[in-house]
Amino acid sequence: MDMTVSELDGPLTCARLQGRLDAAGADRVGVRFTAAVAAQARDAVIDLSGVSFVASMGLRLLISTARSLSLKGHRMVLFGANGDVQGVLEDAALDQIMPVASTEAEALAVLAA
Amino acid sequence: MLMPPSAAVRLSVADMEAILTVTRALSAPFDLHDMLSTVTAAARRVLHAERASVWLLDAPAGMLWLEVSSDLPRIQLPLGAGLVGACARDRCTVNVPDCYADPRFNPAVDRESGFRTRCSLTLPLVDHQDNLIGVMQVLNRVGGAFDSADEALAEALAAQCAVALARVRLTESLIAAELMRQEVELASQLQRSTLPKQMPVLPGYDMHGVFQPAALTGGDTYDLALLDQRLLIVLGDATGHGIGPALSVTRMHAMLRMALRLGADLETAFRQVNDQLSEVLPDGHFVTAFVGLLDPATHGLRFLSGGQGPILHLQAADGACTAYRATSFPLGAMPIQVLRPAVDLTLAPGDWLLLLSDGVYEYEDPDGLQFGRDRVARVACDCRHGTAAAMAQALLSSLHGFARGAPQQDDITLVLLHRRPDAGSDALVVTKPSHDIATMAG
Repeated sequence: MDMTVSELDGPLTCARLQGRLDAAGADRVGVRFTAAVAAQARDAVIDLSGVSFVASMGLRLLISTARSLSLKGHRMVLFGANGDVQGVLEDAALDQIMPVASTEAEALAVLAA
Repeated sequence: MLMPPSAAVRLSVADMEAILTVTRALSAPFDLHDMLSTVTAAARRVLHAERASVWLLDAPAGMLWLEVSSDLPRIQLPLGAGLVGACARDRCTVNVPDCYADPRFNPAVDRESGFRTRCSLTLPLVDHQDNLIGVMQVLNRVGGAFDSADEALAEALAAQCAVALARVRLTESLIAAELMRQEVELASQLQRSTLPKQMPVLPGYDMHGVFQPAALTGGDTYDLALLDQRLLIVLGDATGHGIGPALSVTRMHAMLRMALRLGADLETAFRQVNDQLSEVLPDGHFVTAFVGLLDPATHGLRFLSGGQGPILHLQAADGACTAYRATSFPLGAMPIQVLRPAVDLTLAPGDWLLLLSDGVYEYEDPDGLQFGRDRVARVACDCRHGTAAAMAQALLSSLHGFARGAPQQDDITLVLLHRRPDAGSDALVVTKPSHDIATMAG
């Protein structure tokens, strides 16, 4: 599991995840992801287009990060999930905690709305 | 302990007693502070020194800590600083007859304490694996400076001190491991206290629960209980391992039963439990939970699921397996703003409800492949004409075969509910759940 973080206009945080977001993947990027996204006082978009697989520990990382941001009054939007990953997100009803968009443009539009 | 000849000649009865005290301390249970007090008291007496101290090495930090001294507070030094630091860095005995004439001496401690250091003897403490673990220092020999006989005696004492120190550290790590074992045991007992002792008896239905905790105990729980003519069905999984998740699921379990017993409907109970958990659970902790109520008169099952999915409904007629998603996010993640409607389904004769924790779906074989939903559905379809206990056994056997010895990483929990295919098979059979201590593998 790899991660790159950039700052987009807004300003907002953009984290792009790459690989398997399972227990090992969540363990590998967990601290950096939390520091880059949850520790910031601004909205975030998370690019899942490079994520091939999500397991429960990955979901937990996304939920706890979204929750931390929400406590600061900010939002996190996921985008780019492939069909399988989208299915896992929906199975766990993650879309009720954070918006799930198809594309980066759609994710930015959600935050701008 | 073998004494160098020159030192042995000078040993008085009192010296011998002091050294024997240290030696005896090696074979007795002790804590770090007592052991260091014993060693420094012996060093002062045997070497006729005004002061003695033992500095402990914190290798990752590159610092030395003064753990015991007769009247100095705990202080720290970087490796290489002062006579103590130089001794640690060079790992050799440093005998200085006039400290103020030695450029390595740091007079700051004297200034703070009001003590006047004249001479010092500083020795490295090296364990049996040749690792530096600290430094012993004695100050101000009564009546002059430390000589070579003192050095030999001090080196023997330092060797004893190093052995004792290594033993204390080993004891401490064993105690930490024992505390960890006790915590895991307590968490496991807590988890088990929430599980049903016996499967409820419900005419026309057969049900079976399985709980196989992982070695470090995850946060699974389940419940099958009759409440006011209805069957309560719960499968929960709290984040993490150890005592925290065990407490979280115990709380969730107690709140849920209480709310339902007080007459709350499914939606109210679910929302109340979620909102209370979101207040009391620490950040990043939550519980995925399926909560369902079966009306055995109508065979209608109504459920809400916080992050727990897939929920499998196996139809007897054609063997099709319908997977339902969670209706909301995991319990306790945040307060519920808008609760999605509960799912209603009807169990036809021979139908099954299959609830399995993610420890089943995400069990990985040695190649990292997960057991997954399709395998569960296949095994369930093949076994749909048998009993719930037989289906549980078949699922576990299939999982075991799939794992090929790969260790179990998470709790495994199964809750299987079967509506018997015909009224003639309604004979009441009381079955015991399977709460196995043994893990799947490894």
